[in-house]
Formats: sequence, C-alpha cells, structure tokens
Amino acid sequence: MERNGSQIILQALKDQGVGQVFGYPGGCVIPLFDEFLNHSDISLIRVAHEQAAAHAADGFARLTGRPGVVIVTSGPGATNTITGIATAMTDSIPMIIITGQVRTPVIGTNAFQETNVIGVSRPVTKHNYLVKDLNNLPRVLQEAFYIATTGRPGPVLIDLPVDLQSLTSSAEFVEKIEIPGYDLPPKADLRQVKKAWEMTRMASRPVLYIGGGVNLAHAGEDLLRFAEAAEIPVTTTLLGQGAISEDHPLSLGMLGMHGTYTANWAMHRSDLVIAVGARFDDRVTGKVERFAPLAQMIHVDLDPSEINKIKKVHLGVVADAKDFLAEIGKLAHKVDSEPWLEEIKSIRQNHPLPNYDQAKMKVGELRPEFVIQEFSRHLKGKAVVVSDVGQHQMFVAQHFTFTQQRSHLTSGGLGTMGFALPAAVGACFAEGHEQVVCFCGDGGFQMNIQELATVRSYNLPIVIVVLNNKNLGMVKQWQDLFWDSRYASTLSPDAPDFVKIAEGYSIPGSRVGKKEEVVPAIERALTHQGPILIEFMIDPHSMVYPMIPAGKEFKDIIEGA
Amino acid sequence: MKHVISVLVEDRIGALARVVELFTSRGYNLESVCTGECERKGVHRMTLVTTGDDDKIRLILKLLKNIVYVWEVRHLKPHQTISLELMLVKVQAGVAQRTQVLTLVQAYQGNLIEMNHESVTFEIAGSASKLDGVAEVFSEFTILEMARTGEAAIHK
Repeated sequence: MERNGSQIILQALKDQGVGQVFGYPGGCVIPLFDEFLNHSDISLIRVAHEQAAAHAADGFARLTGRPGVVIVTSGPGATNTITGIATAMTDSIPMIIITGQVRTPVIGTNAFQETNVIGVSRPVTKHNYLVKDLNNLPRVLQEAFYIATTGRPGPVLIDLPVDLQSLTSSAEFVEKIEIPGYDLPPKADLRQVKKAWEMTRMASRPVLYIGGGVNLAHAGEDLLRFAEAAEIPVTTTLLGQGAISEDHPLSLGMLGMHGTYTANWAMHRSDLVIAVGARFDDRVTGKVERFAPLAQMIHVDLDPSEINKIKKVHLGVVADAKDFLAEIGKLAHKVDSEPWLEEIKSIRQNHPLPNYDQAKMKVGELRPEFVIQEFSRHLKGKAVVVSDVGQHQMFVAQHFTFTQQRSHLTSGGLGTMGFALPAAVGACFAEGHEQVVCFCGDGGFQMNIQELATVRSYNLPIVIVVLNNKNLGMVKQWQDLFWDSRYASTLSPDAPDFVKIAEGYSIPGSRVGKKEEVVPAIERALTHQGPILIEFMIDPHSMVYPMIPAGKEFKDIIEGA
Repeated sequence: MKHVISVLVEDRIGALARVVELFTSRGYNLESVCTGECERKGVHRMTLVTTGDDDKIRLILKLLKNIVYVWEVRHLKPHQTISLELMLVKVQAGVAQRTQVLTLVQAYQGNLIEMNHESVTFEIAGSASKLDGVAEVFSEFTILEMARTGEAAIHK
C-alpha cells in the first residue's frame, strides 16, 4: 500500500498502542502534524516548549512503563528537547523522539533551522536514526520502539527530513525485527540465583539495596515476596521508591546522601548487600571504599557494564530484576534475622527523621517537611507524586510515604530542574491515574513555568505545590555548610507572585504562609476539580537532614542542625 | 598498558561515531582506529588500540557491546593476534641521499612508490613497533609527509 512518511508514522504509533504524542509544531513537521488531523484515535498534545514535550513523555513513561512519544521540528525544536532526552537517558526511561529535519537535498548546507540532530543527540540517546530513504522508515520505527523498551530502556530518536513526510512509499512493516548486534539480557542463571541465595542464607545482616530498575521492571511484588520470605530489610534509592511500600516494617526508607539514618546505618553494618537494579550512584555511595564496608556484595543488573563499574562485587548477575527476584523468591525461606531486625528497630526508634508537627513549629514558622507530611497523610500513598529538583525533592523523598510502585516521578540521575511540571502534564495522560501532585521549588518551577498554559488548555487536574523559600535552597544549603554562607547567586528576594501568575493562566491559586492554613489548603486542593496551585511560603533557612556530605561516609552523617 | 580490541560493526550512519565517542566522552585514550570491510557483507571490522588498566578495558569491552550496531567485541591478546600496519612516507632525498634511503627501504622490506629529483616516497608494512622504529630511523632525513593507518588485527 502506498503511504506517505507521515501516514507511516501514524500507523506505527497506532500499532504500538500510542494514545498521545507530546509535541510542538514547526516548519519541518507541518506535513506530519497535518496528518494527525485525519486521526481521531491518537491525540497530539501541544505543550508550550519542546523541552517540556520531552519531560511530559518521560513522566508518562515513568508512570506507565510505556514509551512516551515526542514530535518536534528541526533545529531549535530538536535541541530544546536535549535536556529532556538526557534526563530520560540517565534514568533509563523509554522514549521515542521524532524530529523534523530540513529537506534531504539541503542537509549539510546550514539551511534554515538545520542542526546536526543525529550528532547532538547521540550521547544522550540509547540509539538514533537519520532516515534518508523512506523505504527504511517502517522498519526504523519498529526498531526504535523495540530498542527503547527492551533491555535497559532508554530514549531513541528518529530524525526525519520534511520532504520524506510527504513522499510516498509502498514499504511495509517487517514481520520480524532483526537487529543482529542487539542483545537482550539473558534469563537469570539459576546457578547464580542459587549462589545468591546461599550467600543470603549465610549472612546475618543482609540488606536489599533496590534501585530504579525494580520499578522499571514492575518487580515490586516479586521484591516483596522475597524480602518477606527471608525477612530481609529493604532500602531504596530515590528512583526505587515505592518498589516496596514505605510503611512496610521491612522498609528502611531511602539511602544515600539524604537517606534515613537507619538505611545508611544498616548499609554500614551489613554483611551482605543485595543490589538490584541500582547503579551505585555517588549520591548513594558517598566515598565508595567506605560504602557498605563490611558487606559481601551481590549486584543484579540487566546491563553488564554496570557490574563492577563503581564497586567490585562478589557476585554479579546479569538479569532482569523481576526475573531474578522471582527466582530467588522461590528459594527463599526464613533465616535467623531476628537479632538484626531488632537492632534496626532500635536504631530507627532512636534516629527518626526530623519531624515537624504543627505544635512543634514556632509561630510564623512554616516547615516544608510539615507541608509534605500533611500531603502524605491526606493522600495515604494514593497519588502520583512528581517532584522537581532541589531541597523540596529530598523533603518529598523523605517525608512522603510512597506505597506504590512508580508513584514518585523525579529526575534522579541528571537532576533536571524544571522537570516536574511538564512530567506531571505527561502523567495526566495515563489511564486511570491517581491524583497527580506536583511539588516544585520556586527556582525549578520557573524553569518550565510556561507549561501552566498546557495545564490550562487540557484542564489537567494537577495539584501544583510551590514550596517557596525565596532562594535556591539546595545550593544555598551547600553554601551554608561548606562555603561560609556566601550566597553566590542563590537568593531570590524578588521571586514573582506565583498566585498571580497562575491566575494569568486562569488557574486558581492561593498562598499559604501560616501553619494553621496548611491543612485547609490541602483539603481544598484535593477536592478541587481541575488544576490548582498552592504556594507555601516556607522557612527560607530549612536544611535537608540527615546529610552525608558528598564524598564522605556514614560516620560523617549530619543528623540535624 | 596497550590493548587491541577488534569490533564488528554494522556499516550504518553513526556507527563509527558511536564507537569513537565512547572513548572521547569518557576521556579514554584511543591511539588508533583502523576500519574497513571484512569477511561479512555490510559489516566493518574495526581495530581499536587503546591503553588502560584491566578494569577500564573490561568496562570498555562491555560498553562497546552495548552499542546497538556492534555485533561482536573481542579483546585480542598479543600472543593470539596477527596485526599489521601500513605506513606511507615521503622523505626529502636528492641524488646524494637517494641510495641511502633506498637501502633502508629495502632493509625494512618496504616498497618504493615514487621517486623524483627531490624526494622518495615508499610504503612499509609491519607491526606498530617496527613502524615506530622506521619513523625513528628516517628522522635523520627530512620527512616531508608521513601517514600511518593504525593497526589492523585479526585472531590467529
């Protein structure tokens, strides 16, 4: 059947079950955008900035596990997506980005809005394509989805010249995708699983160190079965949050720089760490040689290049997290972990997270921890929580109790400010999603504030929470601790009136400055239909504790001011 | 320590760039790259020469295999490797020096390619270390131009 390039793309998107695409129009995608008008069963969500299209696709993918799709024009349209693509790449999020390119005959001539997108995007994509022959397009589209979603997921970009979008071809989709160099991770080797279980059985202080890979693999249930069967305490990374419910007795909460005292203590004392779908990021390990210094280490990852990359391990298993956890769960039975769990219990009681209930705060003081705890108490884990980057992100990680897999969407590896609002936009397009709550600081919120327009146009029911401390809190915290409180560029006394800005986009907003107003504001927001913004004027000197400073170890932990 | 890595890579847009970028983006040393067609259609064999400790090489091998277009990655150990490099040299040599140059080329089992009244151009093939020696020996002449292909290697 003769189809033009745009029709081939629409057909491929439908074959892949894509319900919506996030995009922004431009000269080199006019034919492709036009084709969307012929299809009522796939929608094109127009955002306000191309970077936001990428974050929206990312948010959708983090929540659903299905690839988010982005379509933007050439040149600046494409380069604007790069931060969003890099964010997805770092956290292994499946995404398809289709960029328009200038006409085939003028590629390489510095034509209007031409950029070498294939070159610019190469380091931040799992794979990318420049399509110069329309006959290859059906196969390329199939391969792109396959590569983005299998193995270690990641973004795949297709650069498509505008002339090919209107030219026709009779090329068909292929029956079977064949990419000879592309290996899928093997099934978990049962001998290795058995060895892992033997090591676990012999250990007296085991800990499961769970990363984003477990969420990506939808392996929460398998994790729970294993952890419960063998009674092993579980700590997660930022991206692993929710893989086990944080109100489960075996959950130690998050580990790392701003992790709980208990989680970091347990890692420090452990004689066996089982790392699954985690990559020993420096925000987790601190000083690598002193990370879990007494432990034998088992590392399970589907990417062989992650094993022994940062930390030499005693047993490396290349396998999908779900597969491994399911298999080891079959072998697991109760081991004598009673003394270990008792010890942890007493540490937990003696070292709780800083807690601010209403009574404890001084008059006029509004602590971000309190605001987040109240959201958590009201939502009871039934929410999609999107956080931006900075102090509030860590407060959310610490004080919101995540009870469901994939319920905390945040830029972990790249730490992209401006991520939250557009990612929350994307999350709203997942079927049957829970209440979407988007937490931002006043800094990050302004990095993609224009997406209030998208929130308004599609009437997206997001509770937008701006925790405004009138400074760039995380960097300020480092300046306070390590730079003699010299606030180079971190104070924002003239931060705008976010309530007025929301009103400018026809989104209702309110400002909360007193502790007594917090609960009523949350209750109002959670019963509101459609988007709403609340700006909390929080203590400008809040610090995130506990903290293990960068490059330091457990003994250097700062528990509080 | 020097390491020779043989990579089979699909002949596609961006494949070579991805391989090279793996080294440049991490600041790894890439001493030479030699690439071209091989025994399989549509596939190139690249010979990469790099340096680094064993841990780094192990990581590089895995990262190379992660590239979608890379079919096969092989770490070639010196005792199981046949490798060869080609060098083209043009030296300044008038009538007075010509015989001396030609004698040396012959001693190295090189081949004369072109000769005129002011220069001699020749090619010499051999191991990288042999060619290092050649470069040194000819440095007593004025080398007008020199090009080396980098090592190509296959398994014994």
